[in-house]
Parts: sequence; structure tokens; C-alpha cells
Amino acid sequence: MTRYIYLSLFSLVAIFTAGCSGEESACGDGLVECGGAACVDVKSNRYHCGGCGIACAFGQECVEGVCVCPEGVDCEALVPDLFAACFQAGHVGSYYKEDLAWANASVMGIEGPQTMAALDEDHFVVVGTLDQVLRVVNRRNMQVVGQLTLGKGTAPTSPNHVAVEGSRAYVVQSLTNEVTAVDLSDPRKPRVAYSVSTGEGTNPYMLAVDAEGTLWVTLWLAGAVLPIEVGENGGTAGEPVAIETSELEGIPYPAGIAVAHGKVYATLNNLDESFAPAGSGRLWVYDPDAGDQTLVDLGPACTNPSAVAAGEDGRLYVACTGHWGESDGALAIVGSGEEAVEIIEIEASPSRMALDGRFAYLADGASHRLVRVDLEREEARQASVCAPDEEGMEFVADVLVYP
Amino acid sequence: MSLRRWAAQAICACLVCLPVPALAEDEPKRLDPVEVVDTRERVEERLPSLEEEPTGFGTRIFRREFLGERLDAADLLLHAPGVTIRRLPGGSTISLRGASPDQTLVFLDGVRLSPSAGGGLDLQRLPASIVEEITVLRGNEGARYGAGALGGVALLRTPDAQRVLRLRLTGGSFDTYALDAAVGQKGRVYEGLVALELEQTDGDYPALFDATPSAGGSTTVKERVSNNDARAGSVLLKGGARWDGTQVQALALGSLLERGLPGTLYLRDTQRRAERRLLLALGAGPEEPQELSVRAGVSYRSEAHSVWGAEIPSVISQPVVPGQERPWQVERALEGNLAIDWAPTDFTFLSFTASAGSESLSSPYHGKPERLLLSAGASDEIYLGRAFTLALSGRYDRFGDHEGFSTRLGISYRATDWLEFRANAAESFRPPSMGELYLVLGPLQPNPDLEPERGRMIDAGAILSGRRAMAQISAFVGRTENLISYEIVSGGRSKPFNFLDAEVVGAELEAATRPLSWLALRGGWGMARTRNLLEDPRYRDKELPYRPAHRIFARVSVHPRNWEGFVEAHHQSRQWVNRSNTVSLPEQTWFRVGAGRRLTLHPWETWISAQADNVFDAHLVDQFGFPRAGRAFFVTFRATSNPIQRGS
Repeated sequence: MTRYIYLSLFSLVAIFTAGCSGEESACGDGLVECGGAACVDVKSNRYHCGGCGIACAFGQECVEGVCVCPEGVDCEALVPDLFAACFQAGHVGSYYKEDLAWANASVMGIEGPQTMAALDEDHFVVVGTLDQVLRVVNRRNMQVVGQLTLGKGTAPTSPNHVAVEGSRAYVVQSLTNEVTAVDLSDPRKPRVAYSVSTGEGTNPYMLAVDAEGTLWVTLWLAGAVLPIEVGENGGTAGEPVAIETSELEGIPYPAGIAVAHGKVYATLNNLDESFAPAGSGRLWVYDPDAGDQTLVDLGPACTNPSAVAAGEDGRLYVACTGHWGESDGALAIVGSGEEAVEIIEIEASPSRMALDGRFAYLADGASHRLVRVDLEREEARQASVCAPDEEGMEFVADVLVYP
Repeated sequence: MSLRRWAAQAICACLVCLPVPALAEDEPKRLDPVEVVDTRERVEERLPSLEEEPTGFGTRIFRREFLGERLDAADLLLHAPGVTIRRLPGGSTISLRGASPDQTLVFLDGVRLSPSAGGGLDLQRLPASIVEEITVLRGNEGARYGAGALGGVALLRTPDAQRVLRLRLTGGSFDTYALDAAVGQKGRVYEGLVALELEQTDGDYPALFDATPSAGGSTTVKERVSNNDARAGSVLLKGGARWDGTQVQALALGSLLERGLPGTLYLRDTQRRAERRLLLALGAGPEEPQELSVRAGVSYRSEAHSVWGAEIPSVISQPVVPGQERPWQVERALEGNLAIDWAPTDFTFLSFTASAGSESLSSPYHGKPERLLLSAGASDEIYLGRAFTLALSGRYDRFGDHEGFSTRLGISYRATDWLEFRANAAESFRPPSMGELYLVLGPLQPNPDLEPERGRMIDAGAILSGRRAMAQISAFVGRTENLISYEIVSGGRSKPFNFLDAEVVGAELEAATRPLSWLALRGGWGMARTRNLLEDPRYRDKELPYRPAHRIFARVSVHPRNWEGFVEAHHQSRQWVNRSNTVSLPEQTWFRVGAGRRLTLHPWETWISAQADNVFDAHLVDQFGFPRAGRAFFVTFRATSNPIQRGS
């Protein structure tokens, strides 16, 4: 009955709009209408060079339908190597890590870009937590080459973190307690390979992949870390490792995670019941072979720690978010022996981070700024990478850097 | 039923049921005169249109049409087109014409219930069993009912004090048991009514659960949604007195509730919620309408709620307050009001209203914000000949620092006895709620810099009304500016902002008929297509989240002698859950059926009825996409005192 009513209404609409159908393209000779955009000359348009949607890389020009690098220009050097996800504006901006200058191109139209990961030299993945769309982006021209809506678009799943291993992206979906493996062997056609449940009420947060290919997932609400063995067509969740909390002042809330030196490292938010820091942040260190776990106290200057990354120098780098609204964050550096903690104070609220040689790039989770920390000089430099809005809503959700 | 036919039935009932006195053949006696008062239940004879609404569009829902059914307030409201119900784990709210729950006001006997903390009124907190009638007015009603009514209003009315003695018992699925009873008396001077409602349910229900909804071929398993139990009780006291043409009425409503919050199967909640409500109202005015009538009243509302018991604090947990096992958040509102109705000539009817008071929010999460409430309004109904009615309304409202004017112009043209055309244009505002302005609730942050939302709406339509059938069709266009929306401002934190403008275009169609005395048909369709006007290309022209564009319902009910039955169908279209319209909740269709039989007529009229909700066990989901209860059965026994009374 309902369908009949809809059909009737649609029929009426169709009658009134019948004159619109079957119209010829209004483009003139040599011009092509590309995806509803204005008519373009595919011989010279660098965004539709030789055909619709074929965009030239940075620095290249479109000559007779072919992308070419002009003489005397080092086009390779013009490819951006630093990317920032602007959550409210819904775009991923491209930058040059050398001077934090904008590369003059962004991927637009994402609802809540939350997490990014490099797929290969040419492509990276960005996932919107609100639109639940995983997009594969060609970083040479900042064009989306493929996309996939997670959760089949029929239920909110809250994707929170993505990591890439080989041609697989693993997406942590916090609301539905899933880690979803997405096959990216053809970046233009991402597809879900399978999904592994992390268990009811676990609220998975972030993941890291170890040398054997095992996924280690922080379970934010469960206060545990879960290993998942992944295969080609399926994955198996192991026994979650419960975090020993007797030393903590608050609730652990394990968040960031990294794997290095054969060990698993997870940051513990250590929050009180109002989500304010209950004490100093901790780094949880777990040896899977021995089954031992220890806690590293990150000190009172490092509260509410979030992302953790292993540096080439063997040290671990922790983004300390600090107190909400107070911009009292820090970068904590833990020695390879997990014994010493250095603190670089930062007037921001860093949440996620990326390492590149002597620099750490921190996304300010409470403002439009990106923080670059020179690890040798222990200096922090801030750059506005997202357009500040009048209301003060904007924040940098994630940062990605290419070596 | 006509008066004549009713009298004839009453006489028949008298002849059949009266014991025949044994008379001596040789000693004829005169019988005492007998007055028969027929208090049998009668199906509401009025059709759902609004006689007293001069130019607007709306629907009346009479509780007595559903006496044999177990329904909460949300279920009842679904019998009006233009209404959508947002169901959450442990609560539900009403929206009208694509507005938000905050933009729809709910009143009980004239006292505004919509919470000052915001978020829309939880319909599960309303004592539906002791509500006599609900009037749903669609459209911007701010000029008459106060700021905030951008989508419309729902007016709940409890029964008038009258001679009644009634009892109803219900039991059924999910170990649900309910009792409601009313006793009332009405004399020449005094009248009074006491009504009681008690309900308890274990509430747990099986549901299909997909642990990996993102996977292509994932399978579902049957799980059990738990911590969904509830216990609730309400008492209504109403009284009145008349002296020298003046009527004084008093109302007291108290209710208590405790329930579990089930959460979802992905994240089961262990929290519990308790509520306490007290509503007091006192009013005085002329017993009968006068050329100049003055009415005055005062009302007091206190509503407290507490949420506690989270095993693991999460973003859905009410923050813990040290030293308080149950941190109570209490809203209080005290208001005095004055209304003057004046009909200086036979072609105009003027009304003036004024009110003053305050509302406060006592909360451990942000001190005790309090704000002044002031309003003053005037309206005029002008009757131009017998065909045209012009209705003008204007109102000033002040809520603390926020103030504004609301205006409304309506016109109706009665073309024939059975056909009337109506049109309205209205503008109003919604002040930010005190929750949006001041409350810190875990990850939710307040924003004291918020500005009011402003809304405009025009509608037009026609009403066809006959003795046995009515139909109503209306179309509307509305625009809201400065919509307040909670936006994510960092990982896990959200804060409200005046964020966007939106437009809504829609229509409603409602029809009801009683072709036979024992048969009633009723149905409605509501369409509200929202459009985001934000310049951002991600959202421009997309639909707003949680606004299903279509809702349809149909109901057939029969009342043959000693029997009753109904069949009902409901359909709600798909709705988006995000602004970019990439994720949606599926369309939903469900059916209800029920039947009952009268057991006795005198001295108690008793009925036994059974109903099945969601007959085909359709997979229904709540606002988060999580499964709601499936098929359910209930049995209701009801008894109404129906004595044969003798007297002079």
C-alpha cells in the first residue's frame, strides 16, 4: 500500500518533470561534461586530462590530454608529504613537512574525517567517523580514487582508527565493537573482506600491527588489549589481556597503541568518572612472549595520554592531551629501557601524532593547529592547518606524514 | 449515537435487566418512578477534527477509543499525522512537522511540561492511562502557546471531575502488569476525581544481534536486551467548586518512576534512572463564558531525575558526583497567569494573557541556574459574516536573557457546511534550554553564548467535515534559522552551537469515518521533507538527521454489540543519521491487532480484551539503530460501575 502511494506520488512528479528527460548535453565541440561539472576540455584541463576524473599530479600540466611535467620543474618535489584532517570543515589538507606550507589542494566533502594511514607511496586512506566512508586518496593529485561506506550505511558504527598493512586496511569501529578488514588491492574498489568482533561492551579505540601480522587493539571501556590473528578471509580474536590497574588513581581507558622491540605499548588515559585526568598518564608495556606487563609513569606533566609511536631511535613518543580546554599538553619521550621520561611541554592538546625522523607532528585535538616538534632541539612550532571558524569548533583530528 | 436512540436503548436495558416484582393479581400496585442513568462505556462519537481551533490544523485523540488497549503516550500520539516519535533506549520524544523534540511543546492541563533542561519531553514519563484526551496542533504555535512551539504542541487533558468508578488491569509480555483506577463524584457545588496509575514491567526482550554489521555475510544471533525493567506510579487529584457563577479548580499530579536503561547490545548499560514529578495548579474563572471573562491561576512544577549505577563510566554515563549515590537534577517552575476573554461585539472575540514566574535547574553538574519567565499575549478572532474567520495572535516571551516576539495570522473560509479552507502564517523563536546553556554532563559541554532559534511557517489546507466522516489536508513550508546543534569539538567532547539553517516542506492528510454505528476507520499520512541550508556542499540540500520524511498509519475499529476489535498499521520511512546522508536507519512497518468482549453490563460493566503489538514481529529499531522489542501480547480487564439507579 505504502509503495503504491509512493509510486503514485512519483508518477505525478514524473509527469510534471517529463520535459527534463532525454536532453542532449549542452557541451560544444571538443568539450566533455564530466560528472555534472561544467563542460571541460579534456585536452587541457589538469583535473580531467585525457578523460573525466584523470587529474594531473602536482606541478604537472595537461598537454593534448597527457599530464606532463614542465621543463625545469621538479614535480616530484611538489608532491605533498604531510596531511592534516580538519574535522569540522571535513577536509584533508595537504602540506609540505619541510616548511609546513600548504600545497594548495585538499580532499573535501568528508563528514568528520577522523583517521588516516598511508597505503603506499601514492595513496593514503582517510576515514570519516560521521559519514562512515573510507576513501582512498591519490596524494599526487589529492583526488579520491575509491571509497566504501562502512557498516553498509545502515547503522552507526563510529569508525575511530585505521591502520594499513600491505594491501589491507584495518578499521576500528568503536560503536559496534568491530575491527573491519578492507581489501585495497584495487584502490579504486575497496571492499570489506571481513569483520572481527572485539566483544560486547569493549569499545575498541586504536590498533597496531606487529611483525607477525597480529593486530593489537586497545579496548577503551574494557580496560584491556586484544590480540587478533588475521588471515586472508577471516580473523580470530584472542584472549584480551586485562590491564593491571592497582597502581592507577583513575580508570585506565587504554587509548593509543604501538608495537616495537617485540613488546606492545598502550597509553592509559587514567581519567576520573567525569573524564578529567585522575593522575599522571601511564604507558602500559606488555611482553606477549613472557606475558609480563608493567606500567611507566609518564609524570604529572603528561596527563590523558593518547597516541603513542615508536621512533627510529628506539624511543617511544607519547602525545599527552592534558586537561580539557586548558592547552596544557606535552610530548612525553620514553627511553628504550622504559626507564626515563622526557617531557616537552606544548601549549596545545595533542591527541594523534606521526613521526618522521627528528620531527614529531602532533594534531591539536582542541584547535585548528598542527604542532611540529623538533626532537633534537626540543622545540615546538605551531601552524594553523585548518581554517579557524567563528564558533571555535574546529580541531585537527589526525596527521599523516610520508618519510 | 442520537439522544433518542440512546434513550431507547436505556429503556430496553431497563426492561431486560430490572427484576420483575412479584405482584398479587388482585392487588395492583403502582411502581415507583424509575430514573435510568446509563453510564455504559460508549465509543467516542466525535471525529478527530478540532471544532474549537479556528484556523489551524490538528488532531484530537480520545483515550476512551483505546480503553481495551495497553498504550503509552507515544503510541497514542502516533494516531495523529505529522507526529514522529524518536525512540531511545529507555525513553521516547515527540517531533512535529520535521522539527526537533525541543521545538515541540507538551502541556498537561495547561501546564507546560517540556523540560527546561532541554532534549524534549520523555513521553514515557507521562501517565497515559489517566489522560482523557490529547490534542495535537501542527505548525508554529509560539504566538499562542509560547516560545519553543516551532513545530507544534501536544495538549494533554486529564478527565474532568465527574461521577465515575473505574478499574483497569493489564498483564502481558515482558512480565508487564498495570493497574489504573479512577473514582469521581460531581455535585452541584463540589466535584472531585482521584485517579491512580501503577505499572511494572521486567521489560527484558529477545532481539536479533549482529556482532559484525560491517561484514558482508555476517549472521545474527538471538540475544536478550536486559536492564529494561520499570516501575511507575501516578496519582491525580482534581477538585472543583462553584459559587455564584465562579468556578475554582485545583489539580495535583504526583508521579514516581524507576527504570533501567538498557543501552544497546553493543554496549549494555547498567545505569538506572529515577524520576519524581509534582504538578500543582489552581485556577479560578467564571463558570459559564461571559461577555467579559477573567481567569487567573497559578501553577507549580517540580521534576527531578537521577541516573546512577554505571559499572564502567562511558560517554553515555551520567557523571558520578562524589558523596551522592543518586545525584538529583531538579527542575522547578512557578508561574502565575491571567487571561481575559472579551467579546465586545458578536463579530470579534479578544483574548489577553499574561504570565510571570521563574524556572530553575538545580544540578550537581552546574550550580543552580535560574531564569525569569515573562509573557504577554493578545489574540483576536474576527468573524466576517458567517464564512470568514480571521485569527490574529501576538505574544512576547522572555526566558532569562533571551526574549522575542511571536506572531501568527490565520484565516478560514467556510465555503459550505462541510468544506472549510484554512491558512496560517506564523513566526516564533525557541530560547536555548538551560541544559544547552549551563549543564556539564560528562562529554557534553554547555555554551552560554547561544542565541535563540527562530522559525517561520506558513500552511494552508482544507477540512471536510460531515456527520459521519471528516478529512483534513494541509501543506506547509517552514524555515528555521540558528538551529542549535551539539557539535563535536574534540575527541569525545561535544558542545551546542547555533549552527545551521533549515527548511521543511510537507503535507498532512487525515481522514476518519464512521459509516456504521459499530465501525470506525481512521488514517493519516504525514510528510516532512527537511532541507539543510548550510552553505557547506557536504550538507547543502541534504535532509536533516533523524527526520523520516513519511509516516503513514491506518486503523479500523469495530464495536458490535458486546464486542470490540481493531487492526492498525503503521509505516515510517527511512531516516538519515548523519548530515551528509550516507548512513540511514531503515524504513519500518508494523501492525497491531486486538479484540475484546463485554462480560457483564450491570452493576459493573466489565470487558476482557487482548491485543498483539508488532504482530508480524518486524525488526524495529530505535534511534541508534538498535533492536526494539518484537511481538508482544497483552490482556486487559476493565470494569466501570454502571448501576441501575432508582429515584424520583
